[in-house]
Amino acid sequence: MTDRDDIKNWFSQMVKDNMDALYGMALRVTGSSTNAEDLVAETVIKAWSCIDMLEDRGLWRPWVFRILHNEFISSYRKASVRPSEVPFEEQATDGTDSIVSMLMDQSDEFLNWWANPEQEYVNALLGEQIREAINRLPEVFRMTILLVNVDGLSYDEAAVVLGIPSGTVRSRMKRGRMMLQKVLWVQAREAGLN
Amino acid sequence: MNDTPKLDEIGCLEAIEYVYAWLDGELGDKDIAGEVEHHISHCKSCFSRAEMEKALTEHIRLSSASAESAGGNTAPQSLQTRLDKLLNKL
Repeated sequence: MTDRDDIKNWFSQMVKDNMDALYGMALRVTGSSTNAEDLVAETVIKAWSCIDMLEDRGLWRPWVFRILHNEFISSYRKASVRPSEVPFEEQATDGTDSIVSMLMDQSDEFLNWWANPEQEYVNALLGEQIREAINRLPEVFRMTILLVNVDGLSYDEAAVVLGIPSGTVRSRMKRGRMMLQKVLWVQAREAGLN
Repeated sequence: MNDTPKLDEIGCLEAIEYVYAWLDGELGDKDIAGEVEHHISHCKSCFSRAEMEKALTEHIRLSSASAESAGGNTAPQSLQTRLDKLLNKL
């Protein structure tokens, strides 16, 4: 067996082992099963075409996820069924990202609720409601939260996927999770649960 | 070991600044992690916030797992067949 055969067999096995994860991510970003299948297939083709650039096989997962993300950005974003991204100015990532200003923007009612979380409400949340809340986040935050909290990637791995510094992942996680809480709070109010 | 409470060393806003990375196990600085942990264990408000975030993280994972068990995130047979053909052509 040649080295190329070894790489090919390893690559094929990794694709099969990660097929559901790749499809799940593709489905989340495209919002369409048809587009998700196309995106995964194109990701596999792209990944094989540049397999020699993967120096560390241990980095396969963030590497192939990054290819999928890049393929989505270049090919599917404009055609995505998701609503267009809300204009958003990402905060500085030098540590001055102001959590204070975000808290200042939130109503006292929200802060009171946030400081005294209604555990029963959270426990009663249906999965669909949480998914809906995540889908309402701006894309940069939604992607980061999904990669870390759903796909289980570390901040460093998510940084590789998104092509951003780890510090930006941390910043996005913080702001994204705070925004998610706010969206859930609005949903709670709409449902008359608070 | 100095057991003097560190509550005055890190405030609620600082704790919030770090709590998400701390909960994700991504706070590399052990000193800061220790201070966050200490603050949360002594501040009822921040403890509640941290517990809320833990629960929410678990619900996010469960909602995804639920979708997968319902077949939502499982690669369909058509994709598996398509990829098999692709891989055989490599």
